[in-house]
Amino acid sequence: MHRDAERALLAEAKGGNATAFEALWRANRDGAYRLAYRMTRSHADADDVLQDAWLRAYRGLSGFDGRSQFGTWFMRIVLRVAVTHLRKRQRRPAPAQLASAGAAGSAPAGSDPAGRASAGELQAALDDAVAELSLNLRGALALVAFEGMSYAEAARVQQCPEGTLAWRVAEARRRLADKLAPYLD
Amino acid sequence: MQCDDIQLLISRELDGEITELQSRNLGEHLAGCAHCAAFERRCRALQQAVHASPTPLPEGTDWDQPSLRWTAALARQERREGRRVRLLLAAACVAVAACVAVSAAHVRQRRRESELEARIVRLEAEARTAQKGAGGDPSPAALPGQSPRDLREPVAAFAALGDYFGPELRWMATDGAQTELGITTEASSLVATQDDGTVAAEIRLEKTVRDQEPQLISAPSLVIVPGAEANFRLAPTGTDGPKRFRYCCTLDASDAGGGLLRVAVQVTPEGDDGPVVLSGTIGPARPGTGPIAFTRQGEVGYVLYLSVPPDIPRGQSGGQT
Repeated sequence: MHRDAERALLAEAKGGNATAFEALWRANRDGAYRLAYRMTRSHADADDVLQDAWLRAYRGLSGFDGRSQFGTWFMRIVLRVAVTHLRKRQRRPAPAQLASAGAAGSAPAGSDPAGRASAGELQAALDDAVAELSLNLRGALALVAFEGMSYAEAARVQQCPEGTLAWRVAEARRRLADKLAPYLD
Repeated sequence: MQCDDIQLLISRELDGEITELQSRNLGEHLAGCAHCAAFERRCRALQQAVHASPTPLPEGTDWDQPSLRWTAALARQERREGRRVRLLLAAACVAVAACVAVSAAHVRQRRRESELEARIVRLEAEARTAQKGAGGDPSPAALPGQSPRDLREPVAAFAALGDYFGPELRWMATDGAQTELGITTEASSLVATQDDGTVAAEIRLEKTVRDQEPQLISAPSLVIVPGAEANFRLAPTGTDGPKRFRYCCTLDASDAGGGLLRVAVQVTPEGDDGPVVLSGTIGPARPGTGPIAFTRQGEVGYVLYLSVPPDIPRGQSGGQT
């Protein structure tokens, strides 16, 4: 959304215009949902996170000073709500899922004779490995690698220095590359 | 460079967050370090896997407009907080003010109707005189396809507005829903009759959002001729900021018959929004009070009330200020 159009909608939304807020929502909902899903790994949980984030954004709009883009501010709320949601639910990947994917260094079950994993197996293993990352690393990876955000924007969402954000993304990749080596080599 | 630093650069390169110098250093290191080269290959394969795993998004009306149910829940909550009481009080005040204005205007309207009749008769007489080449004040010529009488009545009535109410008409633009949301718009116009019977007007809009500075939106002078099209641009005054609106407007005033003026305003906001058409009728075409409804497509728009200031001087016409 063009920055000027966003500012105009923001002014209307701050005045209580629900239609304007709806327009802001529509412009940012897909990315927000993907972030919520990447964090929670559940569509139902992502929906809960999004509803909570929406209400917080709607009620807190008067406090948004507009220095950053609305999308950045909203994603920050989504991320914070998702982290809170996860900490409450203490969601962890089932150990059985990791065992079926095979221990590090061994070929996954069902792979072809050449020893290379199918795409579906890699995707499943990737999801499981992402879920094992800490919330900070998972969030950084979701924002940059999955959502394509710049380091600067992702750092604003995570409210950390850009160097820290870069380290988190690299560390997340390092851990995933080690965990998924049998699938990637 | 250490391999740990190189692995950070590999990650940066995948995200396009690397300088040319860093990229050269990275290439040189990878050419001579099998461990980091293997890591780089794994990261690229990982990136491909990431791009190959799109998140399915929900579908359906509930996803398209989920905030409808959230808005309803929030509205219920706000009503419980007592905001509804304040809105009802505000609506009651507006209704009382409208009643007072209508009753006062009614008395004035009866007086002015008779004066308007006299003015119309005079204009027609002048037109007949002009057509006969006897001189006198120039009168508006009929547009092709229209009889002088059909054209002149709304023009005369509209032109008479400037005479009866002086140079300034105060148009209150309010919308019921927006008033509740704390958004009000006041419109004022300076109306001056021209020698050719057309009306020049400068429209000034002031929009106020609750707890924010009023925003002025004004238009240059425009000439309104029934059946013709007038173009003007509404642009806010003031500096750039988060409260800026821009509209491109065309105004088409045509004779709707029965003494009514049909007015259509096409508003094209700058930006991502598409054009919005506001249209309505002004009537009756005589000084007094009457609603001018402007309805946006698919939404309730503004209702403009033509109100009469109590002490406006009469018989004064002048240019815009």
